[in-house]
Amino acid sequence: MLNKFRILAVLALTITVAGCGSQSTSNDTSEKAETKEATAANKNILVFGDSLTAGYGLDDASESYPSVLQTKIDSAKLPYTIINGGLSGETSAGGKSRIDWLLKQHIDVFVLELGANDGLRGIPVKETEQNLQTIIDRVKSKYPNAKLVMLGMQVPPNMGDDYVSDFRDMFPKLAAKNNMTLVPFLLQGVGGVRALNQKDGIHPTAEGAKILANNVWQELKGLL
Amino acid sequence: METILNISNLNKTYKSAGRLLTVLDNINFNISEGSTNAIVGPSGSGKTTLLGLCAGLDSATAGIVELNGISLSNLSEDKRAQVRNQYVGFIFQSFQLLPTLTALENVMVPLELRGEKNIKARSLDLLDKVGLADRGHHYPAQLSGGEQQRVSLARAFSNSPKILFADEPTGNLDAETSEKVVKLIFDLNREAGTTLVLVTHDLELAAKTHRIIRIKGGKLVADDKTSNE
Amino acid sequence: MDTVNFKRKINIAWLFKMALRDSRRNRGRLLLFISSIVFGIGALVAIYSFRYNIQNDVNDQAATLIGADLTISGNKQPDAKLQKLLNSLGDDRSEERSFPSMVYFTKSQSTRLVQVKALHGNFPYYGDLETTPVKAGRDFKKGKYALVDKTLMLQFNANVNDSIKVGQEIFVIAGVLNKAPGQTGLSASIAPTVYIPMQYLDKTGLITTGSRINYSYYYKYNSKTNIAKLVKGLDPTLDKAGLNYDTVEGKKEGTSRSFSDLSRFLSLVGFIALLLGCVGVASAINIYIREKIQSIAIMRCMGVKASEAFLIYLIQITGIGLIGSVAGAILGTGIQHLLPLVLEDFLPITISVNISWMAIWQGILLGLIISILFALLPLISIRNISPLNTLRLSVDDTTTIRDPFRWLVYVLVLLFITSFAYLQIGDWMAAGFFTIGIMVAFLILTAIAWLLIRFTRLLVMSSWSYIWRQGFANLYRPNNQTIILTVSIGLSTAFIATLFLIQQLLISQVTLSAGDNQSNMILFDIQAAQQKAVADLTRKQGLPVLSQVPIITMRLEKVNGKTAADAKKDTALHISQRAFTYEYRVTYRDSLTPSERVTSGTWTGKAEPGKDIPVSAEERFANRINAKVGDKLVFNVQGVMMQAYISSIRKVNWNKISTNFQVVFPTGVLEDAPQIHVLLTHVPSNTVSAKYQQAVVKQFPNVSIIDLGLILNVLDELLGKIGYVIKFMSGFSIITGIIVLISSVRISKYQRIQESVLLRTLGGSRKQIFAITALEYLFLGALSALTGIVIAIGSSWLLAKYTFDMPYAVNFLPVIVIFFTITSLTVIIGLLNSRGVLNKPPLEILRSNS
Repeated sequence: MLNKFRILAVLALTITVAGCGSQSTSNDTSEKAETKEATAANKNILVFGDSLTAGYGLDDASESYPSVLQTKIDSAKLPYTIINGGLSGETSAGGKSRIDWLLKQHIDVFVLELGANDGLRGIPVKETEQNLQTIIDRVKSKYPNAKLVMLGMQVPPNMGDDYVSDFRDMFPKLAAKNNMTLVPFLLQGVGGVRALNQKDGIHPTAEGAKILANNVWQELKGLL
Repeated sequence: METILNISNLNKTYKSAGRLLTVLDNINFNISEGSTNAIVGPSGSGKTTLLGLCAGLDSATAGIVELNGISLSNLSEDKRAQVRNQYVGFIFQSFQLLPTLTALENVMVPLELRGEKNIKARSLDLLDKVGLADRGHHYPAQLSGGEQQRVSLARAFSNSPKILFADEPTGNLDAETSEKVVKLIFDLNREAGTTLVLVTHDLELAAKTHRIIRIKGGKLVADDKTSNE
Repeated sequence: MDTVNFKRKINIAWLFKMALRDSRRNRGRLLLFISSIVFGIGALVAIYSFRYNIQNDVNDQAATLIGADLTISGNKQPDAKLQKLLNSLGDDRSEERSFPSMVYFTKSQSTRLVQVKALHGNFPYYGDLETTPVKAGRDFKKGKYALVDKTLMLQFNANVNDSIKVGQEIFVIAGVLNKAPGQTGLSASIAPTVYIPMQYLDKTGLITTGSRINYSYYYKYNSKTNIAKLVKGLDPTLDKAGLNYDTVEGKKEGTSRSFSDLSRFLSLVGFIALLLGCVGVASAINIYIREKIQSIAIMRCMGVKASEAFLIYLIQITGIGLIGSVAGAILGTGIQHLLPLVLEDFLPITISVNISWMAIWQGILLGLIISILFALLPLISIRNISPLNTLRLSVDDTTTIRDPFRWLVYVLVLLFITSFAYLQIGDWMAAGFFTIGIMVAFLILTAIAWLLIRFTRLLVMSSWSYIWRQGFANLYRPNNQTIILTVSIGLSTAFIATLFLIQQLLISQVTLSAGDNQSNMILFDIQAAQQKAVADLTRKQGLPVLSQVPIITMRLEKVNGKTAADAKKDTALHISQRAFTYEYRVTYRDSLTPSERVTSGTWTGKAEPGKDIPVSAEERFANRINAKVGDKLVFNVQGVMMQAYISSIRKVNWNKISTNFQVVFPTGVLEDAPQIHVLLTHVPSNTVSAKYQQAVVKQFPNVSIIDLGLILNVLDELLGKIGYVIKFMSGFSIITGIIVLISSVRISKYQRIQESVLLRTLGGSRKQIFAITALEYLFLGALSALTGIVIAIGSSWLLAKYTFDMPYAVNFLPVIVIFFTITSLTVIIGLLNSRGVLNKPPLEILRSNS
C-alpha cells in the first residue's frame, strides 16, 4: 500500500512535516496535564513551545528537557510541576491561538520557547515578534503574577546574515521589554554539534536535551 | 483361374439410434482374377457397403474378406491403405479427384506413393490412353464430368491394380459420355488384365460383365453368369 | 504372388510436394486463412515493438525524475574516507550543496526564503534544467549567475539580468528556471529553488559552523550497470554514514505506481494480442481442415497412410504459419512505423520507432508455435478420417471419435498459454490463474454454444415463418458453425472488452491534477481567526476553496483502558507501540467526504454533551491499535483528556489529493481546542500562483504554502504519457481484435455457400436468403458478444482486484456500444459472406468452389 502514489500522500506529509516535523513525541504530558486541579501547595510551570519542548524524535518522553527539569526540581524538593506544552511544528502564530486552551489551568511560571519554526520558514522577524508579544500579553493578563521566562533561539547561518542577526536579537529585545528572565540561547553547546543532535541535525538527542535543561535551569532555579 | 477376392460369411451391422441395423447378412462369393463382375441391387440394399468392405475401406463386423490372399479383417487401417495402394484401383460416382491437384498429378499420386520410377511419363501415357493428354495441367474444376471421370480412370489404372472397384462410374454422367467412359473402363481392363468389380443399379451396364451378383436387403439373392464369357 | 511391403518408408520429399500442391489451388481461400494469422501476428509484433519502444521511452523519461543514474545525499559533510568512495563511483559525477536561505531581490528590495542549490558538474544527465532563455541552463555555471524559479520571478517581478543577493554575494539572474530533474521531491516545493554555481558558494559566507547543508552527489554510468546491485553493495556503508541514495528504479516505485501499472498493462496487452492471434489462427485452421476432409479421404483411398496424411497437412500448416507469421511481422513492423507518422499531429508524445528485432523474432516464433499448436487438434482428427467418405455413404462422423491424443494437445495448449503468461507476468501462480481464467471463458462459451444448439432445436416452432425457422435451424443443423463462431466471437469480445474496461480504470487512476477540481496548492498553518479571511482572499483571487479543514493535534492515551506501558509489557494486546507516540492530526466534521466509506459501525456526525465521543477510525489505524467498533479510546488533546469510542471504521481512498485523516471527531467537542486550518485550492497557472502566494504571504505571513504545481506538472506529464500509451495500446489491440473477429467470421463463408446456392436454385429470393443469413449471424453475434462481455466484466474485476489492486467500476455505456458494434459487425460480415451467392448465378459458384 505504501507504494501508491506517494505524491498523493503529500498532504499528510505537509501537514505534519513543515519545519519541525512531528511523527513521534513523548506521551508524558498526559499525567502532567491532568494536574489541572493543582493545589496551591503544588505550583505549575508551563513550558510552552515546539518540538524541542515536546521532545521530538526521542525514544522516551522522559528524555525531553522539560522532563529533565522536572527531575532537577524534584531533587531540589521544590513544589513545582512542569506542564509540557510542546507541540511539534508549532509556530508563533500557532502558539497564539493555542495559548488560551493551556491557560485554562493555573500558571505560576511561564516558559516561552517558540520561534524556531518561524525562522526555518523564513517568516519575517517582525511578524514572529508580534505573535510572541501577543502570547506574553495573554499570559500577563490572565495570570499577572506569573513569572516569565524567555528561551532564546537562533537560526543556522545559511539563512543569511541579516535574517540571522534580526532573529537572534528579537529574543533579548522581547525579554527586556516584558521584564522576562532570558536564557540567551536554548541550544547553547548543542546546536551544530553532530553528536548531540539527531540524524536530522536539528533535534537534540537525549544527551543534548540534558544540556538544554542545564541551560534553562541556570536561569530558572533562581525564580523558584 | 485363381481367386483374387474371397468373401465368406460377411456381416456388417451399424448401430443406429440405439438399435442394430444389419446392412449385410452372411454374404459369400469368390471373384476370379481377370473377370468382370457387377454388384447390382436397389438403393439401400447394401451394395456400396459391400464394395467398401471388399476394397478394404471399412472393416466387417464378422466374416472374411481376402484380397489377393491377404485377409483384410485382421489388418489395421494403415496396412489396408497399403494393400489398396498396391492392388486396388478405384472409380467413384463423384470422381473424387483431389481438387488442388492437376489432372496429371492426380494420376501420379498412387505411383508416387509407391515410390516408382518414370512416374510422369507413365502417367502421361495413361492420360493419353483416356484421351486427355493435352489436359494434364488442368485442375478438376476446369474439366467436364466425363473428363474428370476419365482422369479418375487413368488414376485407377496407374498403379497397375490387380482389382478395380467402380462405384456407379456413370452415375453422374449423361448417356453419351457414359457410353464412352464405360467403353474405356472395359478396354483398359482387358488390356491390363485387371479384375473389375462394379457397383451399379444400371442393368444395361451390368449386362456387360461376366457375372452379376444381386443384393437385396443385405442378402445375396442371385449370382448369375452372363453370356459374355 | 507378390507380397505387400508393409514397411514402406515415409517419403518426406513427396509429403512436402503434396503439401505444396495441395496449397496451390484456391490461393484466394488460402489467403483468407493466412490473413487471420497475418493479422494476429501483425498485431503481436506491432504491440511488442510498441511496447519495447514505449518502455524505453518511459524509462528515459523516468530517468529525468532524478536526472542521474544514482544520487547519494545526506546532511553531513562526508569524511575523507567516504569522500574517496564517493569520488570513485560513476563515469561522470556532479556535486550539489543545497540549503534554505533568505535571498534578497535587489530590484524589489524584498527578502524571501528559497532553497539555494549550488551545483558543480554536468548534472542533469537525463533531462535538462529547463530555463528561459534555454542556454542559461548550461551556461550559468560559467560565471556569477543564478537560475531563479519561475514563481519566484513572478512573485518579485524580477527579470533576467536583475540581480539577487545570496548571503554576501550578488548573482546576476541568467535565466528563469521552469523545470528541473529531480525536482519532484517534497523539499523542493517548500521553498522555491535558486541555482548558483558551486565555485561561488564559499564566498556567500553561508557555509559556516552550524549551517544546515544538504550534500548531494549525482552519478552517471555510461555502460549499462546494474545499479540495483551496486547500491545493494554500498548500502551498509552509506547507511552507516547517514547517507541516502536514490535510483531511477527506486524513484519510479516511490513516485507512482503508474509505472508498474503500465508495465502490467503492457504485459496484459501483449498477452491478449497473443490470445487474439490464437483465436484467429485456431478458428481459421479448424475450418480449413474441415474442408480438407474429402481430399484426405481420397488420399486414404489411394493408399496414403493416416500418419502421412497428418504429416502432409502438418507440413502445409507449418508453411502457412511461417509465411503468415513473416507477413504478420512485416505488417506489424510496418504499422508500428507508419502509425506514428500518420498520427504525428495528434500524438502528444513522440514514440520512437526503432525496429525491434526482438519483437519480430518473438512474433514469428509465436506465430509458428500457435499455428502448429492450434492446428494439431483438427490435424489429429485427420488420422481418423475414413476413406469411406469417398463413397456415397453418409459415414458417421469419425472425426468426433475421442482420440486420446486430443488430451495431449489440450495439455500442450494449456502448457503453452501458461508458460507464455509466465513469460509476460513472471509469476507461475498468476500465470496459472490466467490460464484457468481463459479455460473457464472457453468452457463458458462452449457451454453456451452447446446449450444454444440444444435449445434452438426445441424452440423452433412450426408456426414460425419459414425465414425464422430456417435462420434458427441453421444454428443446430449439421455442419453448423455455432460452436466455433460463438467461441471465437465470444473470446474476441471478451478480450476486447476486458482491455477496454481495464484501460478505463487505469486512465481514471492516472488522471491526477488534470481536472480543475484537483487541488494543486496547499495552505497550512492558517490560524482559526484567519480562516475566514484566507478563504475570502482565495475566492477574491478567483480561485476555488476546494477544501478547508480544521486540524487538531492530539495523542492517543489509552486503548480500552490500556496505556503505552501496558502495550509494551503485553505484546499479546497487539497494539503498536508507535500508536502511542504518534501525534495525531485530527479533524472534526459532521459528514463523510466522497473519498471515504464506512466499512463497519455507523458514522456519527455530532457528539452528545456529557457522553463518550463517537469517533471514526481509519481501517489501518484500527488495525494498528487492534480495535474494533465500540472499543474505548482516550485522547489527550493538548492537556485535556477526552473519552471516546470507535463508532465507525472507514476505508479511505488515499489516491486523491485531499485531506484524509486517521481519526475523525464529530462536531461539538473540538471547536475550542487549539487548531490550525488547512486550505486546498487549484491554481491554473504559474502567474496566478505567484500572484496568489504574494497576496497570502503579505496578509498572512504565518501561513505556509506548498505549491504542488511543479511536482504535479512533471508527474502529470509523465502520467499523461502513460495514460496515452495505455489508451493507444488498448485502442490498437481492440482494432486488432476486431480484425481477427472479422477474419474468423469471414472464414465461415464457405460453410453456408452450398446451402445458400441450393436455396437460390430452389427459387429462394435474394431477400429471403438475406434474411435467413442475417438472422443466423444476428443470433450468433448477439449471444456471443453478450457472453463475451459478461466474461470481460468478470475478468476485468478480477484483474482490477488482484493484478492492478485498484477499485472497480464499470461504465456501462461503452460496454453497450461494444455489444452493438460486435453484433452488427458479425451480421455485416455474415451478409458480406453471402453476397457472392446472392449476386452470381448459382451454377458458377458451385463450380468455382468444387
